[in-house]
Amino acid sequence: MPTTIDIENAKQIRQPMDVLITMQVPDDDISLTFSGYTSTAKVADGVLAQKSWPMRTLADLQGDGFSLGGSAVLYDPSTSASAADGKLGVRGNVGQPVSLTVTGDQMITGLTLLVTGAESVTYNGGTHEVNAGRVSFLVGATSAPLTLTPSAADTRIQVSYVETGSEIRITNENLISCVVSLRSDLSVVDPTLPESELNIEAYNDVDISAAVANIPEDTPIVYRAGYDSNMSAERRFYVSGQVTWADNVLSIHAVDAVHFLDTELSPAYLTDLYSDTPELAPLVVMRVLRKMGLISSTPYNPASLKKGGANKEVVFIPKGVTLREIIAELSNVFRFRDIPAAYLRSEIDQNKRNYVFSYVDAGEPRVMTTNPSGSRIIKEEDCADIKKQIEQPISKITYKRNPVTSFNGEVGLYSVLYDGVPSGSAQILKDNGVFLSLDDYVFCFLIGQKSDEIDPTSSYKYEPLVPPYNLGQYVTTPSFSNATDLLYGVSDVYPVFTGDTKNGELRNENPIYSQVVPWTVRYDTAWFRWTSLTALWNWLTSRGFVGKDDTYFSTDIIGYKLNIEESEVTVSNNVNNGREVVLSGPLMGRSFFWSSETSRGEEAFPAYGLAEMLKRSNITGSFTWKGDPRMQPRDVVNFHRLDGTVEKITIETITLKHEGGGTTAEITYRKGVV
Amino acid sequence: MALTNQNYIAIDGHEILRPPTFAPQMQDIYAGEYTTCTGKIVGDRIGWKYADATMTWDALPQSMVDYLIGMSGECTLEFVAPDGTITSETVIRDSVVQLQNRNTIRGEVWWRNVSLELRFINAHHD
Repeated sequence: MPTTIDIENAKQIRQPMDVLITMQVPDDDISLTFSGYTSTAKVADGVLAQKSWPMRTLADLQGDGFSLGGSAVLYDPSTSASAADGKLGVRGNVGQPVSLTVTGDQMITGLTLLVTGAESVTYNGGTHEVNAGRVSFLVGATSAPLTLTPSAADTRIQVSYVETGSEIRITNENLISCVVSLRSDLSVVDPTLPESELNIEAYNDVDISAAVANIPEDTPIVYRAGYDSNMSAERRFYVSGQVTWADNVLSIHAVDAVHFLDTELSPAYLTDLYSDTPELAPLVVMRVLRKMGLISSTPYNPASLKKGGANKEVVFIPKGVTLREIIAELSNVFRFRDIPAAYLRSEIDQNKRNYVFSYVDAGEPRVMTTNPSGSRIIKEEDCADIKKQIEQPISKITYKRNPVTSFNGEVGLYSVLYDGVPSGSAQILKDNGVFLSLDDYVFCFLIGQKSDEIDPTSSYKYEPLVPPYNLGQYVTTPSFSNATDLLYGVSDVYPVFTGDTKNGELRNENPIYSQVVPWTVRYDTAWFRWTSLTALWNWLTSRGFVGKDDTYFSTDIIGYKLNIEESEVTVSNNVNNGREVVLSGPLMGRSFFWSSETSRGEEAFPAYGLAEMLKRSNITGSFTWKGDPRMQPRDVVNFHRLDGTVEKITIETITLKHEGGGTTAEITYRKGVV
Repeated sequence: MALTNQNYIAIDGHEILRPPTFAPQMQDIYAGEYTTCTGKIVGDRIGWKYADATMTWDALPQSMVDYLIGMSGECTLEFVAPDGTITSETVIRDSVVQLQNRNTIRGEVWWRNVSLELRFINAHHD
């Protein structure tokens, strides 16, 4: 059954689309007083700030009449307003306007009134219609004299509630232009997680400059477009910069929630980790996004990836990298499609050979973990300004771990199985000096850079951690006497909490630090106490923290030459005249996916992700299309060319322009499924 | 002043003889237009307006010509629309008032072959 927008988009000449933009101007907790209503009111107690108190039903031979159910009472001026007896609010004479002055103890940005029997409220020359008993408008002054106009000659105006805060509503009636830029980045090399933008210009009869001046950044603004019976989903943006007002034109610039991700992962976002499932990095990210309120869906958590039996979970989150960078990296390379069975560990379900991760906000945050199917169609015959661009193909991608050290000391995002205490016992030190056993506890770490030179052949050797932290300065204080009692800093590690995970739920949560704190002697990082240096070394190597001396891997992945060494991963194909690119960065630890002792499994990532990058088309393009395709960047569509061929393309950006009452979309894409 | 006679139009409330050939045409307004690669024009019909018109009279008395000459900026034009309703539109005069011949009939000055261009301002979204 085609939707209204599909029907309209199929027409050559369409009905114009409705645009609805609302911005909730926040309540600044202003204290209000009410005056000026006495001479125009029939009865009033002026109680307009108690929202939960009911309006007292009065027997009324005019206006709404009186209830036959016994609920109406006679007007008794001696009955005070209360939660039990209700309130009178402000009630006018039948068919007559009501005046009301609202005064704040500071400037009132906007007001919202709950009122019956009124058609509109006039303030400062502007008239605001009452809609479903509610009217909202900007004020921008400390005192607002209002005039309420009755909706009919036989109705009585009843004002029940007045609150600060208001809603700016922009529709086709006052919209000059609205440009919605929805973005993803499908670059092959080092893509980012770009911000989407909303730029609005709207006309307003009433001078609201004072109110506009007080709209803070990050005020939510909601955009929808479509037709009465078929509006789009809400896209939520946040005011960025100052909302401006000039010549009665309101200019708003807003961005999506991506900028909230410009932060390092906070332990506060990780307090709901649970289960006995080792967390893949994308799942951790999804948990965080959900915790931040950006997505609501349940993360896809393939049962096949569980490593059963151990009620333990260790999640390593990088330090010095923002969540935005992590997501951009994951969205670029975390794509496993039709993984050859040879690369799967035995406990991985052979049917789960496809897993991708991509995140797009665009005002409607969405995580995709499956390959997009691309069932939608766009016909070239409907498009204008069709452009095609062909980049020089990439023949070789070399990923250098950063920094390259004697044992691959990369800073990385890890999702590491912790399936048992290494030989000996591992313990964690709280800041009160008490050691806790690792057994049956959940740990969540922020991990940054590994110690550069841990030499397994040399006892007692330790080196400074991430500058300016200095391990050496600290460990001299406890004074260790021998290798069996050595405190060894594995990394710049911050414990977040401990607790047991019986039955898959976190119990007995025992926070160690509620947030990341600077490393100092007092707030020391977590330290593993190993009974021997050999045990530590074994643990490090088994978990992929340190590398081995030999070349790990050299083979083909589905036609792509793959070479993995300690310091770099190289993937190449035989494209003639192709360029070579070198990537380096903080992410892509090799324990990303399989995180086990099996080197082949470990090394499938990032090499496999890099091979996927090489497969991407070097053909990009753009075109103008009619209206709103109701798509999200990274969606895949079938592009029906004029010559009858059908290309699968992945949408990179959509720029919707609502101008002069009409709508067009400029779309850019990369060929193929990215 | 509301229009009282369908043989007249009113400009800013001043009744003037209706031009015999005056028949305002409604035209659609489009936005978001573009031409596809196959040459098809695609767009949104956002409303309609009266098309710009030329008003011509065989003859008008000086008093009515004065109203035409006095048109400045936006003016209100009232006329009887094809459906019989009295319609009010905002217009601007888009040319000088062309006056070809001057005659005096029974002491009153009449102008022959009078014409002017009108531009309709209002857009309608019904």
